[in-house]
Amino acid sequence: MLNPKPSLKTTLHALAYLAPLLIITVLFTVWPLLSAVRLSLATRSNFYTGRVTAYGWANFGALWHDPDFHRAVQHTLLFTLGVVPASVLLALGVALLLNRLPHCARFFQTLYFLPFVTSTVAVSLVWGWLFQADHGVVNGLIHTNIDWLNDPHYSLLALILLCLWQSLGFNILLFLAGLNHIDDRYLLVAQLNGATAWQRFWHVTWPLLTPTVILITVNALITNFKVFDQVYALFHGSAGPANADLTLTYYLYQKFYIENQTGLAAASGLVLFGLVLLITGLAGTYFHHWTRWLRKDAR
Amino acid sequence: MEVTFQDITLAYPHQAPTLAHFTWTVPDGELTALLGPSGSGKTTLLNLLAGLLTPDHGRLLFDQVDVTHQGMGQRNVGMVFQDYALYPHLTVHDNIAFPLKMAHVKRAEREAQIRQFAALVRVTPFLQKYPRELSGGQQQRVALARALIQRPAVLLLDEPLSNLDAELRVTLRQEIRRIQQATGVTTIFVTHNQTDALQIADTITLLHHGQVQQTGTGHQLYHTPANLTVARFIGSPRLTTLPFAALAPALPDSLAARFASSATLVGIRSEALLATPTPIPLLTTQTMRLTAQDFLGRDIVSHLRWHQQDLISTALPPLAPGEYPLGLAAPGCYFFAANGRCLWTGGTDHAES
Repeated sequence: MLNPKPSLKTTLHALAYLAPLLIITVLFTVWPLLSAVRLSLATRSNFYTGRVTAYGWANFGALWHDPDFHRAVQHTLLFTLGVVPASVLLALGVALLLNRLPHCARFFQTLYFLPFVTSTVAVSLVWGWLFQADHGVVNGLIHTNIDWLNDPHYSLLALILLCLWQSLGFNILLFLAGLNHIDDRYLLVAQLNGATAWQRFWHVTWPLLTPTVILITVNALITNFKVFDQVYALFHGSAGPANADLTLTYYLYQKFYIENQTGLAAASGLVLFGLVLLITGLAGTYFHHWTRWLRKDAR
Repeated sequence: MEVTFQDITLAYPHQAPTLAHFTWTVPDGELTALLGPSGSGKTTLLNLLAGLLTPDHGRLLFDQVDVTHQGMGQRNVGMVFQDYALYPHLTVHDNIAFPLKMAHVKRAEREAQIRQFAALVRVTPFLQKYPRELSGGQQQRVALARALIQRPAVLLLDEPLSNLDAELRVTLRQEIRRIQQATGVTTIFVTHNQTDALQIADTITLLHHGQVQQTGTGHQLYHTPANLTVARFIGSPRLTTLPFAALAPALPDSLAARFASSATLVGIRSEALLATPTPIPLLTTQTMRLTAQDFLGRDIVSHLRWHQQDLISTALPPLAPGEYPLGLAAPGCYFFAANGRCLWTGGTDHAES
């Protein structure tokens, strides 16, 4: 019975196999999403009974006028548009160097990878200690006297450093895998073609690394849209001095769990959803154009 | 550009030397086939030429210029790999343009050259395609154009035909020959396939165990092999050998006496065993038993048995198994010394000296 024609029976058969995952997806992703939309439009409701007595755009209006929300959006955009490229380039640089290391490459890989497998709470506590104003290692190293975690001017930088460091190892590992995947002969031919080291990187390695760059960038975008636990642990349950480290996810948490403003929380969640959609969509379009050569129907 | 390997020794760590006191000259402007079984050192020679390896001792000369310690970029060596190694992210046009782009050649000049070389290797219709959209043969041509556009001192072809099917192989062999003659670039064609080498090359160098066994035209290698290795490697079906002592009683007395002390082995080409009578002068006629015949299109391979020796002939007509008087012709009959050196090549005493 090879290649049976699709019929109602075979379709139902296939559906039966898909059902477990479909049910889970609908139950835990689609339905909550729809509920969030409903909740965000509810201006008067009882969260516990789920009864909504009035609908309107008031929640979104409130967000529009809330300076804290503006700050959260700003920070989240800074993370996705600034920290993501920085972390990708940093990881690429380290991976390229590691790739040239004849010995001990494994050792360094493990070393760089450790932060990724360590719990964020532990990592944040250690960094909290490193960032201490009086006897902190960071201040000791660069001979400054900055109160990293309590000065609103520096606390965001401290958070960014932590996030960069934490994600570095995993990205390096992915880049190394990508670099290993590139056939050595392309670089050999390039060398015979008279390409300098920089030309070899720019015209051969970098374009061939594109699939890896896309993977890492999209992954980093998603991670950086969700920065929360680092803030929570580094600033002991606050969003930093004077909300200086407020991110969208943290804002959502504040509104929902601390202030019980379920409508506002749902609305900010939807804004986050929209942003994720927009930025990953833009990235996707850009990458799609960038990887024409990977597809069979090229041109 | 004449290429000279001068007394080159190269050993990989913890191994016997791959090359020891290796000396070889590749004539300028010719297509030289470097023929040899796998493990004979062909790839090592290519890597030495390309600059991937540096010899432990000895010198590599390009037209009397010592390039032994020059880097890959400086030597200007063009190379076509077995599976072409075309940049997958670049179109055919950009692949061919690559060497010029690296050398910052002006756009107008670049485009003119790309047109010229694309026309030479006949890939003009595919210029805007990506390598993955091309067939193996087309990719091969693109790789040739990319190697040639940098006007290489030497062009290295590393088993360029081994990934192609039989028909395409024949076509591309002729194409490579045509392109080489059109450009006149000194070309080294590495292969383990004797047919490719015999068809394409001006001269063939047979390499075995890191040593040049013989250099010459295909005709010379086939008819006057320098030693047993060459005689066995060139020719299909393979040369049959039997102890000299077994054949000596059947040989003319003068010949048998002359080589009685020096020859240990006789090699017989399949076309040297003939049905009698024949106008061709024969060394001897012997009754042999035909055990089986294989019909391979034009050729008939006859398996023969004579005095406990297995022999092969491709010169017999279809026959029923049985005993037949068969003649052994002098051309295609070789005597070898114990060290493998060829002493006598069927009367053409070329290798005797």
